[in-house]
Amino acid sequence: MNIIGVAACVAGIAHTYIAKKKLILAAEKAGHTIHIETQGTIGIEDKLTDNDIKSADIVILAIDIQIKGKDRFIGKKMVEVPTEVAVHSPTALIKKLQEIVESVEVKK
Amino acid sequence: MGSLQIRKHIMTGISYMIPYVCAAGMLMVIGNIFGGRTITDYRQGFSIADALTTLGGDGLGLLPVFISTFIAYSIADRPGIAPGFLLGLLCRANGFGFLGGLFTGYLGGYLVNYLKKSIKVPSFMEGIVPQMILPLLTTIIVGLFMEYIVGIAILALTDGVYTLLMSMQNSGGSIVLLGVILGILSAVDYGGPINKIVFVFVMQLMTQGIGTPISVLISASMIAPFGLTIGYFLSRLFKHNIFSNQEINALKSAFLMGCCQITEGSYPIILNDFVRITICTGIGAAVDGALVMYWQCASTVPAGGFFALPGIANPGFWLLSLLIGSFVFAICLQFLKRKSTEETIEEELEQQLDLSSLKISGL
Repeated sequence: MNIIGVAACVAGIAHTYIAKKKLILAAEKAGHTIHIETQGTIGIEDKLTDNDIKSADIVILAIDIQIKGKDRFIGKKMVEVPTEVAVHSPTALIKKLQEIVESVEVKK
Repeated sequence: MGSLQIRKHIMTGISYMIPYVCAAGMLMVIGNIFGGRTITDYRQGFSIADALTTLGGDGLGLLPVFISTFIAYSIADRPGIAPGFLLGLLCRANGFGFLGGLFTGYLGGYLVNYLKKSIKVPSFMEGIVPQMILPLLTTIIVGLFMEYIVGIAILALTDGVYTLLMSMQNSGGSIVLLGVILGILSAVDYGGPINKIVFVFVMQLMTQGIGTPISVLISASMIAPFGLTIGYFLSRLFKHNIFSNQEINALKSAFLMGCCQITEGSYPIILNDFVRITICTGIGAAVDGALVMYWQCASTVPAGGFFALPGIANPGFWLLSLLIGSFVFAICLQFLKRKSTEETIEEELEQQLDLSSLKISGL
């Protein structure tokens, strides 16, 4: 499964990057590919490319604030959570994402 | 329409505001350390310290504008910026303060969003809707509402408080009670409109030669940053962890600014748990105000935190009042404050996934 996402917290110093790290670890452990963009106080880092977005199966937004460029994901399957959820339960979150993707595929 | 996401928008505003408050606050602190004074006439010459103090002070003075702009931006995107900015200016000019700015940010932002959906024009006119109609209409509607409806309520409140304080000052015996009230009113809105009303009142008393009330205000304004700092060390002592790492970071600059009687640095922590921390502030400031009044620590300087000390009578007792007040705050904090979201890197066990926090779209 191809996961992309954005992480952004209030201060943009700590939670943003912890959420990113946890999501990547959990996703790779489950055998998915993942790319997370961060929108911290320094600005956007690891920006998602158009190709990343086009080839993604699902978008995960781990955000506490309004992010830039949310309209890029219109038409994509998208799950939004506060950063603390990504920090506290990344593996369960990734599993949930997989369930969502699979349930849609079954319907098709 | 969905949920209004009130919390998310204030958090976005604050995330933009943190670097701003740090920069402006530190400018003022550095300026004050080197004896900077606010410049009123640039032709009369000024020092570097004066320039820093003035710029920092102006910056903090514009906080209502800043927060109003970015909350409106968070809600309504680009069309929110212009009305948010203008309405923030209105709050600043009227003395509605930071809380006023929060309020206009929300009102302006939601109104822009509403108008965006409801205004229908012929297609050749579509270009001018975000350019002119949205910002202009929003600013007029919210602006007049603030000036005529909210403004009148705030003015009535101001007059009421003023009369009450005046009668207490004149009745002599209730001087400690006056200290309690002044302390609470100075501190509970962290430099907002109530604090400014008290400032006008105590300033007037100071020019009449009664310097204790303004001394209460200086002291009470420092209760929140110092109380939080002492509260942090107490919580370490009791191994009762109530501060998140994010808050501990914010605390450092909050403390430094607190030394100069700038309360704004504490906002990032206070807003995480506004009601509970404000209860602590009220109690701590009440004790502090009563003690400053009781020990008659009159001041001849209107502001400046520790840098006002040379102008304060009985400075030792003044410091003691501040210390006791902050300790009271810190102890209340141990019972009331809850830890906000925290990172637990070492924790291997995962928490149950909270499904209610998931928002799924695009299926």
